[in-house]
Amino acid sequence: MPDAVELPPPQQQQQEEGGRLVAEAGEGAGAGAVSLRVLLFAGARELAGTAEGVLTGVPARTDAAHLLGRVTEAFSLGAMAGSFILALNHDYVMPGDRVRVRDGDELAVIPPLSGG
Amino acid sequence: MSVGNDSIASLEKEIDELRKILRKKEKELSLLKECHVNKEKCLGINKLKLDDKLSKDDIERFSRQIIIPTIGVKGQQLLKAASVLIVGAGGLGCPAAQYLTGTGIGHIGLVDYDAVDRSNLHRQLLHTQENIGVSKVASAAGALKQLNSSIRISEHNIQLDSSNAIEIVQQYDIVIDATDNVATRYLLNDVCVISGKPLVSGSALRLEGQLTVYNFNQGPCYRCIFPSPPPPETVTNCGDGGVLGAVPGVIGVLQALEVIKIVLGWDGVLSGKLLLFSGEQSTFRNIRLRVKNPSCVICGDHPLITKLIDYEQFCGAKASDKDNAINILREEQRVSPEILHSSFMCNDEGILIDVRDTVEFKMCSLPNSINIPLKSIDETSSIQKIKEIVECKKKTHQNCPVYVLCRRGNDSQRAVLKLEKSLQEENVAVCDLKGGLHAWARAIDSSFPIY
Repeated sequence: MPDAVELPPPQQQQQEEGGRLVAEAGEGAGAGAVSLRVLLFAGARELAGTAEGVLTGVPARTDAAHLLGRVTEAFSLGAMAGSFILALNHDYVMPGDRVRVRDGDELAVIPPLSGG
Repeated sequence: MSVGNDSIASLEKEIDELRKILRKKEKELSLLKECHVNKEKCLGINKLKLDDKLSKDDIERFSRQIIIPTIGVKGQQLLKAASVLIVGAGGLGCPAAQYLTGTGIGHIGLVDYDAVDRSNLHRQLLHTQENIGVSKVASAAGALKQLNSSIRISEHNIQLDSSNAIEIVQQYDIVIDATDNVATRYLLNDVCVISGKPLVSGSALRLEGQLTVYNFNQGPCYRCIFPSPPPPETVTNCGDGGVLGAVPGVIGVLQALEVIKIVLGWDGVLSGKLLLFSGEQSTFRNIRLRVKNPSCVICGDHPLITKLIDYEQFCGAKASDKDNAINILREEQRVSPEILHSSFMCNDEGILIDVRDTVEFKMCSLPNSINIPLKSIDETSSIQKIKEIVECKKKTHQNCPVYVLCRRGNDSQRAVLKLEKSLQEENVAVCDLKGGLHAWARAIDSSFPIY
């Protein structure tokens, strides 16, 4: 039932000043490297200074630790390392898991919100 | 005109006193009722039986939901027999409590240690301006009883902590986390795991909300998803970050809906899923979470935590959303509102820098203060600007202290530490206003807004 309330992802954010943050590939990105659309929530959005970005040069076969490292570096999330989760196409990325990514996949960076 | 004003004032005073009497009587009544219920409970005569017939009032009141085929009379009886503890009678707790009362949950417990503040009223809609200063649980309970006087409402006007949480939580079937801080969130998670209660967790800040149900049907608990608390400096509370009232409103109402589904035994409870709400984009994203983590320290196969711990220590932060006053300057670097008033306002000495964010500065500020937000106080252009003003002022005044202020007197101290270094060559005293604008409003100008 909750799946029924899932809505399509928002349109590309046009109000974003200076466009989206694009993080270039680091070392080791070779053939089969893909780009991910990164969505940043709550405190991650504040730290990164943007709600959305692109992570390029991600190996198609990778793992949770690599994704975590790349996202942390590219979006300056070091201050909250270890206290956010990742979701790939709406699926929680289990720490320690191997992950397959395709071009254009959506990677969400989700820290807990605690206000109320 | 003055006669009119006098009668307005005297009527207002009279109404105020009558309200106080009313509150006292309501409290007496609620205590009497609570005693009565407890007595009956001890005698075993108040057990709600599911085959009890619905009263005329029940049928008339709840008919619109009873006629939903999946609820029916049986569902309404389940709701009447259920008990729910709502921790936090604020932005999330108010709407959750309102809808649970509306739907006919038989027993609602409210936990909050705080009193109603004017800055709560834009989102905590059970509270009224007449109740400013009244405890939040008493204020909310009063409003809920006006909605349905036959519901049992228990007021827990306390700060929930490791010493009292289990005893309170055990009295209820389901717990709602409507709190505003990380430490209480971990506490509630652990209490619910230890006591075997589902935890309907909601949170909101600015224009974002999150919702999930922990510890339910083999789903994960809070620690399965977030095993370690966030560094305190990365946590923003509603007082500092702001919150648009309708956003916790949405999440609080959804928390009530999750409770109702759990009570009715429906599928589709938001367990093992995290709902992300964006008030800005009007989107709901449903993230599929993991199942219970077998190596979770509290709900895993071999739990390491078997009793409650010190959650403020664990999180490195207080179990409230109030900022703690820091004290990182020497005593001579701090000035009182009185000294600032006589030196800067009356004798035109020095300059006054307000380091709050620009949006706050625009809301209210002291005359002739200059706004340089803390985050840009290190920038060369900011330092240059300050130096120019100081040089200019020095031409006419021998003494040119640099006064720094903020809302409550924490950021101003951080700014002084930075400015001290950048302004070393100027040979000027750099001081902060102790207690910030809050202290100013208390000591010098009561008409200055406290927010």
